[in-house]
Amino acid sequence: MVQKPRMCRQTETPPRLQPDISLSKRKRESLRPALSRLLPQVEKPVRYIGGELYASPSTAAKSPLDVALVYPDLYDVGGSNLALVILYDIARRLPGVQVERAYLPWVDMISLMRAHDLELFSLESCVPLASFDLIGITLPHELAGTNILELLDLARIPLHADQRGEDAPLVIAGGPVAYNPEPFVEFFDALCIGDGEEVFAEVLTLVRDLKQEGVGRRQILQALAKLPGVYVGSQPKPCIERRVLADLDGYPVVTQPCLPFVETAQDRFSVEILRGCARGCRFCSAGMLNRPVRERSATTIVRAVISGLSKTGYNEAALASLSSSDHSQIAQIVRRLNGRYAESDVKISLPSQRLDVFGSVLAQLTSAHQKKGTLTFAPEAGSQRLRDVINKNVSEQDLIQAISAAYRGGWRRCKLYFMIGLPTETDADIIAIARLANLAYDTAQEAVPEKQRSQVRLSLSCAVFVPKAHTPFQWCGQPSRLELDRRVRLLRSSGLKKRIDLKWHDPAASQIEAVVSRGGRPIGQLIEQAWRRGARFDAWSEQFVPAAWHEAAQALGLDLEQLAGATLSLDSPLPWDFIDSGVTKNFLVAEYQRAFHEQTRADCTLTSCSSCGVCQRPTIRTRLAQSRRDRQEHTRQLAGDSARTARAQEAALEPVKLGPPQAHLMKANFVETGFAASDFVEPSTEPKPAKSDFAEPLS
Amino acid sequence: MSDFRLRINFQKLGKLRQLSHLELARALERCVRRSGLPYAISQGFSAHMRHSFSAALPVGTASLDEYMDLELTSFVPPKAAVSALQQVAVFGLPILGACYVSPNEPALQATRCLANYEVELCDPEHDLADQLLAALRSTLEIIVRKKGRPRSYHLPDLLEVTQTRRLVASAPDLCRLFMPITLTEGGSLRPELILEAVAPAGRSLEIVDIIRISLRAQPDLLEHKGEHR
Ligand code: SF4
Repeated sequence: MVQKPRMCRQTETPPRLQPDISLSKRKRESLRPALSRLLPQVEKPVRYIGGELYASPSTAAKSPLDVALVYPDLYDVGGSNLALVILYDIARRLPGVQVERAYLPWVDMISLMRAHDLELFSLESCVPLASFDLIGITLPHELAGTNILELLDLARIPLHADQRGEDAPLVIAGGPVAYNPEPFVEFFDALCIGDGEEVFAEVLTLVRDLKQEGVGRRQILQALAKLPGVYVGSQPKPCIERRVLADLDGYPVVTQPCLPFVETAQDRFSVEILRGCARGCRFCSAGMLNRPVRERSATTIVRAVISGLSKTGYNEAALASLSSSDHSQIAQIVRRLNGRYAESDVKISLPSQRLDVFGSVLAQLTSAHQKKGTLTFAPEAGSQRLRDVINKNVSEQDLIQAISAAYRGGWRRCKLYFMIGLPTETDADIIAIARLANLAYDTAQEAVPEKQRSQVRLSLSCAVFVPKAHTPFQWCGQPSRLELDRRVRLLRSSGLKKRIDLKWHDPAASQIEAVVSRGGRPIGQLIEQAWRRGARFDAWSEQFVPAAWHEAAQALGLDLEQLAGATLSLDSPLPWDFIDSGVTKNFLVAEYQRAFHEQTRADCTLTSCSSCGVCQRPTIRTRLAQSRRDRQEHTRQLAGDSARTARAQEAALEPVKLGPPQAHLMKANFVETGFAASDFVEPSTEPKPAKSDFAEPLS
Repeated sequence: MSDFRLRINFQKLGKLRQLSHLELARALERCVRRSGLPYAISQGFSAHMRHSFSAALPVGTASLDEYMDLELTSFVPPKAAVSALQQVAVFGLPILGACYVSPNEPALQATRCLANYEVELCDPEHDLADQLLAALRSTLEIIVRKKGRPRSYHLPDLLEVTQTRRLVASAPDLCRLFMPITLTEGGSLRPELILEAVAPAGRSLEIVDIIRISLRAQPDLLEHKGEHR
């Protein structure tokens, strides 16, 4: 898709902040008549009507605490977000709390709303967002910043926490990006760090009670700042401990989520079968920030799926988590559920699978309908050396076995995820991606009967490495955009088979992600200035306007290339140092150093504790439904003994001796292997790679 | 084809008029699954519920009289089926009644029906309704763009003779037109497209609301309609 130039926001409909909005409380009045007039003019009006099964009833009445939960993107994207499902459920169970939802409207609706003076409304009662007492916004990724400003502006809530008056809603954030709160702190009255199940009810109860006592905004914020896991920008604390839900199995699964009419990104009933992942990929913030691993038991999961499907009527249940195939009882769970739904049109899906445990057992267990879909695996790097650097702990043999098992088992479509720009990456590693993909393609071809070979599809999806706060790679820089472009071109000319589809993330957007991910307070300014220059929906490739960000950076004297690309020294203070994720900095440093020695670290759920620090808190420990080691044995026997497992175990047993890192690997610059940029065609006339959704296949 | 083809009569009301045909179908499928009715599934690689719908309603159009044929694997008394569906229905998609129809009967989409639409539009000068009525009665040929291409239609084939109009007492600036439009397997035209095609030159129509009030066929789509309501 070709990028359409977009005018700066100032020349379109100007955002308007009502100067008087902070002085008087916005009334809880229905905006439905005004909204109805706009609906015939927008794409998918169903996004804005509410009325879903299991949503809170619509009411004009004020409750002791009116709460709006907001996802800073389209309903189609956020409508099935599991975190919001859980928070909504927590809120609606609390006495004296009325909870509603809102999403950012699509650009067509936003323009109409500005033109017709309609402010952002809640879905259930269609009342102004500004009339709520508390607005909870989830921060799903680094590119959501401008959308947050867009929605605050549309809701006519002052953008900055310190501009909000006594009657303005308290705007509170949470979610994965809140672990580095500084870039966002000026926009929120408070940020919650950690599992929402632990902290959200406490926040709501506290605010509800204080409001009822007539306590003012300042005192409410002071009280909030005293809650563990809550960060109030105006009341800094030396350390904020991430809140951790100790026992996931004991926490009830939400079996009556709001049922969107819109077809959402995950249009199915989801059960979180486990939380956390201790595989320890060194670039992955989700893996570091959700430790320890906590599983739900097979029986809890099977019961939840049966109950959820019968209450929602979905025809698909997803066994969701960061790494679902790692569940110690996964084979049993899938077997029980497939048995139960064998004669029906209900499918059970396993969204994230590790290729090293995708044994032939799982391939056979998963139902026939699912095999029509795309199976995804993430080797992340092309060479074993680089996979060891990032601690992926999968081997080429694992991939070949998984691909072979999958295509023999009936799948015809597979997608492989890779990352470019990883620390220590050389041209040889990039070429290895193409080689590995070709090998996977040949394996797939061999695994299917001759007549069906034309049905074999394999696609590659290449993300760009983004250094993330709280990971061992937080100190590493991202290669420059020019360099990333060159690596993409190198990959494209590395002899990748024509029949393999290749898509990649836009390096320009990934650079912004890197800047925000490791940013401090000044990055909040950057987000605001970029938004004022027209940036919004930055995660949508066709909406992303790099120029807005560059102009904003220029105006503020910031160098994006330098911010994203800087290699930080291990002892430099980091803006997120005061957030205690549980994983110690010593562990991150050790992992960083092991990376550059190409030494892996085994998964603590398969071997023994590697002392990351999370389980030092009382009650917090890895909770597995059964030992994973037995299952690992089982998988190994079935899939053939893999080199990876042996290596992982060796790594776990052998104490690592760290010498001085190899100089050429520590250098941020890139090792050339005889390819020059001029060897490759300039991609200027090519379709722009889709960012968030890889919507545009490149032929 | 299963022996038990249950024809379900439902409505699409209020805010839910904004559902597209696909969204409506998905919402009703979920309603059927929640109800626990023994629905039949298609054989083959990707199993799905066996059902079919009456002519698709456009986004934004409400309806008081819609039909869905659902194949069941065993007999459930219509009253019991209706009450099972009613218990789990979404507000805005109420279930009115049901009866079994012969498996040999033509599909709902293939049944020639007469759809009665009520169109409410702004008529501040109280002249538009008369002009539109006169135009609808006298025009023979209309040109409508469908999928970007102009197509010509013989209006008397599409629109039944009588159209009445009624001014709404509480909102004198609005008028209502009743438009009985024939639906055939080959398709039909939406009332707003017909109105736009015959509108007096230079006048833009401000349509406030469109409701499909009934769907008639010979014989009736739902026998003994009152019985299961
Ligand atoms: S403290 Fe040990 S057992 Fe707990 S998550 Fe970290 S490595 Fe695993």
